[in-house]
This record gives sequence, C-alpha cells and structure tokens, in this order.
Amino acid sequence: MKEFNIYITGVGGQGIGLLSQALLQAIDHAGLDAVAVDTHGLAQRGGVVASRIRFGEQVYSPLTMKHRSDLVLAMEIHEALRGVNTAVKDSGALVYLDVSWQPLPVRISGEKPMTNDDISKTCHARQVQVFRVESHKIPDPRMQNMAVLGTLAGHGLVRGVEKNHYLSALEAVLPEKIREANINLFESYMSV
Amino acid sequence: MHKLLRDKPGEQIMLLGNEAIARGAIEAGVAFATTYPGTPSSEISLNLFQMSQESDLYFEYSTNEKVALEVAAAAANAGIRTFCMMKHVGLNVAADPLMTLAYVGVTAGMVILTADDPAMFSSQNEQDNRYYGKLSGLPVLEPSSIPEAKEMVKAAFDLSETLKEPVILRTTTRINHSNAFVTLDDIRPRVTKGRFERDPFRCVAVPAVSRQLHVKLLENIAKAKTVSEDSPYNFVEGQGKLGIITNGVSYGYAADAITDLGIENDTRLMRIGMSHPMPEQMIKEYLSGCEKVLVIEEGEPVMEESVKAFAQEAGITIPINGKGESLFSRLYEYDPAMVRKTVAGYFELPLDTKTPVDVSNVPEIPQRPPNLCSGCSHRATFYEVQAAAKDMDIICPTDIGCYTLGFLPPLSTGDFVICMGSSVSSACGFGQATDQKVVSFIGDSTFFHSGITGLVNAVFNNHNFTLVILENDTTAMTGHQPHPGVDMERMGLSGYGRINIENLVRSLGVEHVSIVKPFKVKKSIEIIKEALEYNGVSVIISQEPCALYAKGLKMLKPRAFKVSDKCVDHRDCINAIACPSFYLEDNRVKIDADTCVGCAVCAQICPENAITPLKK
Repeated sequence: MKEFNIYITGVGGQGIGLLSQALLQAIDHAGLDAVAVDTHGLAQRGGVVASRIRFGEQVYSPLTMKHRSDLVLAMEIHEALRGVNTAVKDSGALVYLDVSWQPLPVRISGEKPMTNDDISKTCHARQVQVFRVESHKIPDPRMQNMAVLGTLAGHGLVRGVEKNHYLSALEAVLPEKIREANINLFESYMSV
Repeated sequence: MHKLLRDKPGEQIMLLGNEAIARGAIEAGVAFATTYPGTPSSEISLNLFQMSQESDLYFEYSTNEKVALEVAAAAANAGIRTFCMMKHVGLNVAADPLMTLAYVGVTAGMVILTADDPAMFSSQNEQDNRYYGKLSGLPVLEPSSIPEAKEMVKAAFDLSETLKEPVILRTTTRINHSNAFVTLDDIRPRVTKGRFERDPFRCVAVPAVSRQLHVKLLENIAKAKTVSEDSPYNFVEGQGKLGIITNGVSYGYAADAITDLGIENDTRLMRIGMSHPMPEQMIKEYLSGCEKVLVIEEGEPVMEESVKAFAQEAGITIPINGKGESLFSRLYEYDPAMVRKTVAGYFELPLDTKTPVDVSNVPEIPQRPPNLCSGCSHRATFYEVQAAAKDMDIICPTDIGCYTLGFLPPLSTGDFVICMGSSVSSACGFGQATDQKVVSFIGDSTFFHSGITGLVNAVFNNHNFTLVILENDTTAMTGHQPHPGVDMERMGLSGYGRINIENLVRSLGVEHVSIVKPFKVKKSIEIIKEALEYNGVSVIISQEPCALYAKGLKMLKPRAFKVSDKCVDHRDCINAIACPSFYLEDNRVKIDADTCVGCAVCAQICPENAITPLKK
C-alpha cells in the first residue's frame, strides 16, 4: 500500500488525543509503520483540534495533502463537515459522532449551525461513505471516542488493522481504572 | 516506573516528539534540567518533572527562562550534564545569559532546546531561532524526525563536551507534537553532584577577560565548522542535477514531494541537520554537481543566504532560490502539497493535476475560535471589570496565557499584548501617555515570570493604573505546571517553598490591594469599582483555581445548572459571557449539563433569575 491517511478532528477537550493514540497503537500492532501529529496548546481551549496518522510504503511527513485522506474521524458535527471539506478524498469514508458543540458565531452572531443533513448531502455528492455514531445512545459522554473507534473497527475501515490489534492497543493506552468499561463499549460498537 | 526511564535497550515504543527528546536526555545521562514551560516545548519538561519524582534527576520549573538558563549554566560549569528547554520566545528572555555563556562555556555537556512555532499555533510571533546560533556563535542542531530527535539530543551533549560550549537544539512544533516509534537505547549513568573548580579568567566576564573569551569563541566556531563538515546529520541523497537543500520538518515534505513526483533519479537532496556553522566545503562540492538549487526551509532564508554566499565564493553561478514570488514564503508553516507544487514549478516538472475536489456546494461552516473553558474564572473577572468600568474610557493591556483569549467578543477585554510581563510595564506607559483609565491583566505564573519588575517600576515611578492578577493556582495554558505561588502539597509533593502574591505585592509598596472571588459577581464588581477609582497603582488579586486543574485534582465537583421556564429570552447570559456550555435549541438558550461545572456566574447575571441548579 502506497499510503493510507487518517484525519481525526473535533473540539479541544473531546478526547481526540486518546483516540489518535489508540488508533496509532492499533496500526503498530498490525505491523504497519505509521507517523502521526497532534494539536497541543492554546488551540485546545475550545478551538478546532486535528490529529493526522499516515502509514504506507512511502510516507515521510505526518502532514497529509488536502483531499488525500482515506478516512476522516470527527467527534462533532461542524468539525465533521470541515474535515470532509478539507481532508477526505472523493470516495473516502467519514465516521462521525453526531453531537453539536455550537461555535461561538452560531451562539452570538446568528450564523447557521450545521446539521446531519448537511453532512449526508455533502458526502453523497462526493461518494464519501458516512458512518454516523448516535451520541444519545452512548451511556457516558467520556466514552464517545470508544464508540467512534468501535464503529470504524467494526466496519474494517483501516486496511490491515484487525479487531485484536485494536483491543491490544486499548489495553496499552487506557488507564486501568477505566479500561474495562471503555473496552466493553468499544466491543459493543465493534459488533453493531 | 515512568515509561521513559525503562532500561530496556532495543525496545520499540511509540513516543511523542517531546517524549523522545526527554528520553534522549535520559539516555545522555542528563542529571540537571531546568525550564519555564511553553508550547510547543512543554511536554519535554513535564516528562522530566515526572521522572525527577522517581529518580535522582534534578529538575526545576524555574521562574522564567533567564533564571532557568542561569541555574543551568552553573550546573554545567560544576561538571554536570545539564538540559535547559524553552519555547522560541523564551530564548529572548534568556538571551542575556545566552550571549555571554557562549563566551564562558561549560565544563560538562549542556544543551539548550528552543522549540520554534512556525504558523504560531500557540505563540505571539514566529521568529526563527536559528539566528540565535549565528548571534551567539553556538552550534545548532535540527532534527527532521522523532527517532532522530532522540539521537540528536545525545549527539548534542557529546558535541557540547567536545567544544566546551552549550549546543542549541532547535525543533519546530511539528517535530515536538508528532508521534512515531522510537527504539530505546542504553541509559548513561547520571552524575548528579559535581565540583566547581575556580577559573576566574574564564568564568568572570569582565572586559579584560571577555576580550580573550571572544577569541576562544571564534576558535570554537572554527572547530564546530569542521565538525559540521563531517557530521552524519548533514548528508546528501540522490545523484541527480536538481538540487534541493532542506532542514528539519521540511525534509519530510521534500521527500514526500520527490516520491510523489517520481523524480528520485533527477534530484540531489541535501539535508542539513547541523545548521550552524554550515558545512561550507560540503555545500560547495554539492553545488558543483547541481544545475539548479531550491532551498526548502520554513521561516527565514538562513540557509539560502549562506548557500548563496558559498556559491559566490566558489564562483558557482547556477540559480539558487528559496524565498520569493511563486517560491516559498517566510510566513507560517509549510505542508506537503505546497512543497510539491513549488518543487514542480521551480524545476518545470509536470504536476499531476487531478480535477480539484468540488466543495462549492457545501454550506459555509462557522469558524471556531478558541474559547475560555466552561467555568473559567477569567470569564467572570473580565465581565466584572467591564461592568465596574462601564462608563469609563479604558485601555486593557493583557498578557500571555489562557486569559489572552478574553480579547475576543463578547468579553472584548484585552487591547495590547507583546510579550510575557508586558501587561504591567505597558500599563505604566499608557497611564503616563494618556488620560484614559488603564486596567491591565496578568496571570499568576506570568506575574512571577516577569510582571514583578514592572510593578516595582510602577511603584517607584508613581504610575497610575489598576493591575488585575488572575490567580488560578497554576500555569494553565501550557498544561498545568506549577509556579512559585502554588501549594505543591496539593500535588502530593513536599520540599517546596510558596510565595503569597498578596504579601509580595504589599511588600513592593502597592498601597491599594484588594482580593476578589470572581464567582461572587456583585461583590466583586463593588470591590473592582473602588480599586478603579484609586489614583495611583492599585492591584486586584482575583482568586479562583483553574476549573480544568481543579477538576483534575478533584477539588471541583461539577454541579450543572439549567435554564428554567422563567427565561424570557433576554440572552444576557449568552451575549455577555458566551460560556461554551450555552447552546441554542429551537432558538432558546440551553445549558449543556455534561460540560457545565456550576460556577453560577450566568445565574447571577440573569435578570429573571431563570438559571437554576439542575436537580438530579
């Protein structure tokens, strides 16, 4: 495989870091050599955060060219659409959590918020496969990222990475206190 | 055991760039480390801080970067391997000791890490600190990948001991914050105590001594140049005629572009990892094999100018370019697409131009500026100061920290920021130069870093302004590092002193000092009003722990609020403070119970008292 690019996005504070760490570990456990880059610092205070993971035979930089991502993972509706707009390639895939963290201009300047409908229309026009993760079905908001990870694992969206790779990655990155609950949730989404 | 202390040579683990750098320091036998935290360097020191708690490594969060470098300079002159790290603008603060430490030198290895921030993800400027190498005469190393970053830390210590000079290790954000797999190596035993051998004609930089030390420095630069000529970190790949010279993270973009364009056989790529002094002979030989050269470096044309000068000396007249129209910019960071396009354009190669993806039908997506957190006490303080100063013509100098975000609507509090500590000193200037009321803001950590001297100046010169010190018990923006006002026992650590800000301010001679608890809105506004009316220097200390920090330490138990039926949609809450827990649903204000921490500021400003605790 020449390259496989993943773009992970959301709002600062949503646990994007852990999601990207877990996925990166899973890719490693599958025997693939990956590079990745995260956002830290000021932008984490309620702004857009993005992580990128790349692997393949000829991959040097962790940054990905525009519209070359095979897969976009998004933890929020507006950021899902922004990720589709800037990162995903035509016929790529989007997994997103359907929560809305309204950006400030929506709340104070009357700008129009984005909806699930906007996402499905945009993705349909570009043959991007959409996997919507319904947030109201997740018992604990702190485990939303596990639902997203479980969904992408269940649909085998990362080529070459299997269920056992995800599970061993979660064993490695999750603190012991929350490990069991998170893995149980991951597995329930994995088999949906 | 901390994962970076594992003595398992050969083991491969996934590390953040900053973790790899910290591990490199451990493998190099670093026994003494100092810092003032700053993005993108912060996780290096955070890991060293954690490791110091379970090993004999000495680590300190110093008051500022100048202090950090001076503390480190002494340790490195007492024979201990010493590491001092900071963000790029931190080196400005430490520039004074840096310049003369280069004259004095060290007796054990010393590495100064500067983490530059092209594109300013978390910084007030994007200065290129490679110039500090030229300015000070010290060697500069720059890694292109995470595994190399770890190796380079060790090489930098060895080089420092060869030259008896500090070595600058320069990274950029995309190195600090990338992840990759790194192979662990042996850990060199730490030497934790040294002995200072008196050597006044090297160590006391008075004019007569420094005249000799400058000679020594120039000799060292010449020695460093021979090291650079043979350095494994300066290398050439490919034997084509199209020259590409690159450094740091741009090396990855260049390599991606070469593969993507399929020009591996046409290019000759030179990667510069030791960028000061530049390997002059190596570059002259390299140029003689090229038809045309493109220099790919983020920031300033540091390498480009050197390469052009070398070409001129060697009588080589091939085109050498880097910055310029339809070439590279001095602005922001680079990315693979931009590098590929510029390489193709410069060498007149066909660029595979697939039809660009059509996104014209996508609705406009609202921007998402960063925002103070739910339950952030700064939001309350800004609201209260604006309420207290309602009819005043005010100027609000502010400072570097999360609270800089107060300048954004709707709080719109923050009119002037240049660097750490400038809120206090610029308030002196504005107060003197105008008849406007000056109210300036500084965080507690920033106050210790460089606000105190400004306040001393204000008292001595009898300036006229109100300083609000935002005491949230931590260095929040960089990830909750301690500062001299923090109760370290709260973090389970003993053996630290603690400075009380109120006592300090009073001891400086400030006569009007008041304390507010910003979550008590009415009371705070009254106290602030009184301070604003005072003629002279008044200080308000706004005390409330950072909500994220308090949650992390379980000092804060979130208790969410809700908007009740009494709401008549005035929207004072959302329009005046815009806490991220508010959202609109069917055009009515709601509160997200998952994120509301229950600071109750909105409840106190709602004219209908319609915001009430959510009873479970």
